[in-house]
Amino acid sequence: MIQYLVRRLLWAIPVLLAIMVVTFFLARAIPGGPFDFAGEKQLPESIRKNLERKYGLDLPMYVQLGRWIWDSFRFDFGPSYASRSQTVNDILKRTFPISFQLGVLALLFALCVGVPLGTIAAVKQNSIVDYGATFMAILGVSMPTMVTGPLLMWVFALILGWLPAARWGTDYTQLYLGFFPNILSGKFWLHAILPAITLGLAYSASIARLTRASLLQVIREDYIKTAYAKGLPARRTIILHGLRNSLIPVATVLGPMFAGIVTGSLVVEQIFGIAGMGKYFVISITNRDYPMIMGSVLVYSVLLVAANMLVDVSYAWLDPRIRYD
Amino acid sequence: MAIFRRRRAETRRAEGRSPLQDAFRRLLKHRAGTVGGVFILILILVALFVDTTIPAAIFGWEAKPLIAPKHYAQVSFFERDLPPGTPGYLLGTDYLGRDILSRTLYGTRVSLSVAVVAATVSLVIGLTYGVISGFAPTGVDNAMMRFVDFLYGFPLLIFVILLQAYFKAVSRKGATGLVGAMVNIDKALGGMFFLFVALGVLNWIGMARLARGQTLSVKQKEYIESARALGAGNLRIVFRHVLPNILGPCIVAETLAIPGYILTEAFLSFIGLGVTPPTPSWGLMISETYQGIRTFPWEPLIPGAALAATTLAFNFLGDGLRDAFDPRLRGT
Amino acid sequence: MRLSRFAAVLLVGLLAWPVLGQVILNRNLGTEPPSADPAISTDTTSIEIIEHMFLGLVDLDENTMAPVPELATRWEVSEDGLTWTYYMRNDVIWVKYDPQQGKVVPDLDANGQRRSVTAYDVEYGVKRTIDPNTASDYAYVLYIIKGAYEANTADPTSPDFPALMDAVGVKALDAFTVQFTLEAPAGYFGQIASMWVARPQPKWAIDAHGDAWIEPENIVTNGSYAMKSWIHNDSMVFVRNPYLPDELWGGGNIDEVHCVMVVEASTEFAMYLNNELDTAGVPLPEMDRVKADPVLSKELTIRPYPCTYYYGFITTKKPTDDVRVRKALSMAIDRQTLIDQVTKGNQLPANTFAGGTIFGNAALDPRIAPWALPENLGGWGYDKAVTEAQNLMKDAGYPDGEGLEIVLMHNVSEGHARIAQAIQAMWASAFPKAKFTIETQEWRVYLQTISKETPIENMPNVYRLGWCQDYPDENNWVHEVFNPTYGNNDPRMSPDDPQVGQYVAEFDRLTYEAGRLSDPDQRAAMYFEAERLLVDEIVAIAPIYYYTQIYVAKPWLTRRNHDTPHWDTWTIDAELKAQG
Repeated sequence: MIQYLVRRLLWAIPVLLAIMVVTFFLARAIPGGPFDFAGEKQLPESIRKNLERKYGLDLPMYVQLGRWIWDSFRFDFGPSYASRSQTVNDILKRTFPISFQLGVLALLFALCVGVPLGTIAAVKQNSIVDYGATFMAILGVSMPTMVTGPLLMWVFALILGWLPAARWGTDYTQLYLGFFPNILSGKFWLHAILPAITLGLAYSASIARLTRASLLQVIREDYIKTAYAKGLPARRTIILHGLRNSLIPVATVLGPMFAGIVTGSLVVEQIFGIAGMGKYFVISITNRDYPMIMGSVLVYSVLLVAANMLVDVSYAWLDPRIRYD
Repeated sequence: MAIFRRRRAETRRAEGRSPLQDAFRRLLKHRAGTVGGVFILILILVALFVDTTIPAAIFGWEAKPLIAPKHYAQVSFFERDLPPGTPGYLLGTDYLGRDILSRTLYGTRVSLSVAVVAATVSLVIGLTYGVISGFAPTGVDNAMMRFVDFLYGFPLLIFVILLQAYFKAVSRKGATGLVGAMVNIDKALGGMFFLFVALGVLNWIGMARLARGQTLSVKQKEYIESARALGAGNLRIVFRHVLPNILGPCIVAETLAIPGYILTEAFLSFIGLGVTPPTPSWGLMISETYQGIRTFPWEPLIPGAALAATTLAFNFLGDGLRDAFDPRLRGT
Repeated sequence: MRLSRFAAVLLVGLLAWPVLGQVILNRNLGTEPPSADPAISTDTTSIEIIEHMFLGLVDLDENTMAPVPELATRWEVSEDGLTWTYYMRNDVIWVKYDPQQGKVVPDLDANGQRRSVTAYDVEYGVKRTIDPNTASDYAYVLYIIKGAYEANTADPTSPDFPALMDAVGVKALDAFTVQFTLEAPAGYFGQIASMWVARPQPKWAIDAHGDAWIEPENIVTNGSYAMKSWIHNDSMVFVRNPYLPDELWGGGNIDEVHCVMVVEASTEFAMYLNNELDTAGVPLPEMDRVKADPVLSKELTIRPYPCTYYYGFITTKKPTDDVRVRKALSMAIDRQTLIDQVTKGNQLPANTFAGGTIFGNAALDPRIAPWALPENLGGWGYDKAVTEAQNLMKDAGYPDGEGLEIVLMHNVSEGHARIAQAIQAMWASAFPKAKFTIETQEWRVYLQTISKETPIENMPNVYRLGWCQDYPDENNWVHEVFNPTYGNNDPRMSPDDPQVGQYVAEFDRLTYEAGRLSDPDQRAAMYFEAERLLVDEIVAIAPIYYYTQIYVAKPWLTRRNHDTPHWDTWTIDAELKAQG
């Protein structure tokens, strides 16, 4: 197991390096530089030169690339061009925990809704319950978040007045160890409900469908039939024996799904005014903020590698037959 | 000689019940899948005949609305933001007084092209790559899969954004050669070509993994061994035996991926990298109007409903196809 | 329902407790300010917070845009207009927020003495903006100061660089007198002196903390509010500066300003409706409802704002190289309908480049481009304009637009797309046989495309831009944007143009010379003629509308209007607010 994880980790290094190099050149290949304009005004050549000198953009390409790789090995991603008093590290440190919290809550919501829904649908396959559950699940995945977000805000914040309209209930200065929110705070939960549901809805649908499909397959396996034959009650059989095994495919998609949720929450973060890192994936590109582009891409890649490894570990728990050697 | 002849006859009979035909028969029995399939057929017809573009292109006429009551860009400043049911505007008008029904109907073109083209691109690339990898010697197979791992860890949406931004920039600069040719195709399609390619590129990786896995498992089967024993070459084995058997699961996976493409188009429109206005796409229509959802709810909700219905149809069709291709799942 | 009661109690609790002690304003900045450093800021959000934290030598009157005393109580201009001397007050001190004591305290020097805001701080601030090591985007605004251009463009590693910096024409004559020496007499230098790039800056704090000196734990300020916290991308809190001299306080009663940074306009508006904000902008699709609503319409304010929205023509690309085509296209834009039906913010139709608050403007004067104005403003009205446009187009060889192909380009944005599609429809109905194509590009790519370096075959015919003042003088408008020699000149006007070359040469001369004169009347007359040439003779641009500022404010908040908000002039009726 340990050996396997070490091998995976070692393999991640060349992959990350390749990603870094490709991103470096791609980012610079987009037309338009970071310092061509201030607002709508084209900057004079002289001003642009001053800025490029300040940020080392006048150096040869290979020097820039080498420096960047070296710096990022020391976890120093450099200054942000767009927000000059902050470094990329500052920005990531402040926004990543928020996105992470939102992502975890959304994923929890997705699991809490998706797994039971999928189980019910599988147990009552081809009944009206199944069709209803499937329909709801697919509807969830079909509505874009830019429709569900404002809709939920409208209903629950403005008409019913139950919840605050927007923003996250905590910020980076109030986090424990710079990462964990105060989960006893009512404010945190009140603010979290709408964005987490909006974001989680689409994923709950995928989880429900996957659970249904794999549970259907597992139910027909011999050991389940044996369990029935031993006279175990149906519900107990399904939950104890069937569900656990049918969650393996679900766990497989959770890894990339989680990386996607944490970094792909742009729309939800924008609609609810949450200071997460989702928007940096887009605005760093529109700003040609090279260090921020590279930093955010690296965070995503590392997150994905880590999430996939976690998934592999969870296999061992879900299916004791799997061994790593 | 006699033995050989009998074998061929058997093969012919077996072809009469090819996996694909079997599956099709089973699909027709799947109610939701059939409904989804019919709905998509209707959408295809709408996309083709929403106006007279196709005959107009052949005979050199000017394109006129056919199914759609009005042209999608017909602006009427003093009839803006009318609710559904207003005489002359069944589904109301948008912020420039354009007929929402017509724009929604025209929008099927973008969403369906995205679905079809992106799915084809990803299916073709993924299938080819996966089968080659599955059949190649271990060393090559490993290398090819490591490359897929690399792409898998690569945040492809960022890549798509970069690609879109890059091509939009290049298209104005007027490139030559291959890029130039692509830019011209893009212009002819109203700025949608790169969207398709980008989405296909985004998704072939999963398909490649699936195709490789399927190939590996089919490769172990007895009938492949016997074909090989009879002296069939790799190419023949791939086309006669492997492809027909792995196509089913791949098509299912692709159908189920289509809603994702349609939603990605909506997302790209949201961040301003979708189709060029005034060409309507559902994603663009939603992102143009969602801010006014409290005042003019029909403006985002109607294209939203069209989007939901279409993805629903593709999902049902995908479910139906899966049940059809995997007979083990039937009738439990 | 239990949840609802819990939420209500919690929210009321959150909102109510601060009201007991302090008057708090809840405001949305709309975005994270990219900076709070006066030397490098370029955008309205940064400038809004800088306006409250740093005093200028002068401020601008909210109506006349004339300089009024702020740090400087009076100033003198020499006969030749080259030397400007500012005499500063001596009772303003540098302050900072102390989190331990929970209040704003004076910033003390090594000897424990309070630091006054001095002429040395002004000299340091101006020179720091010009220093190429600071790499300020807006350093070029100060190029009118003697030696500024040379210093800013020098290589900072070269041995003669210190001498160049010393030669810059800004000098503290004593602790409270600062003198500027200019390259040329510039009637608008009074406005430049009000700009953020020319404000005093705290050398000791900047030396100690580098680029991070504007973070809340480091920043030292002197304005009406001090920064208490800055949670990037989320919120900022400002506290009233009790050490500010009374004459410089605007008369408001707000003790703390709590700013959030919500980008989405519809979310901002929802928060306003939910009483989470005291004032907010209005999203475009909600305008109809706000105007019709009996309560919201009373809370709505619309006032002019010094920006102009325009379409530019590329004058060297077929078919917009023909002045008749350009004029016909400009005439065929129904500005009033566009404002009433699409932009909906009671903007004014534009017939010139600079709007009504800029020195030297000729806005809404029907002697210039009367076809752009509706009849009630003394113009032609659209019916006459469109007939005339069709005639012009026929003269140019495109009857009904036959054979005319125009590419209109704008950067990707919801609002611009609405306007572009509307104008495309107007043109298509005026010239039914022409082909109008819209192209969009992402912002930075777009800016690069329309710049002068792009080869002509890759240019559109028509591009969209807007312009907002840096300082309220025509020099910032017609000269810096369009002067064929010194300005951006995106339309590529040239004195060699066979049709309008002589006008371009005249426009070039007028805009250059008017920026080097002191006499206001003479300058105004020259700018009037320049505007007329630009819009009516050369037709390099089609001005579309003058912006308005649109906001709603709760009944308990009284906002004094100013282009850049001045919170110190706002008042909140706490009792009314507590009633909600």
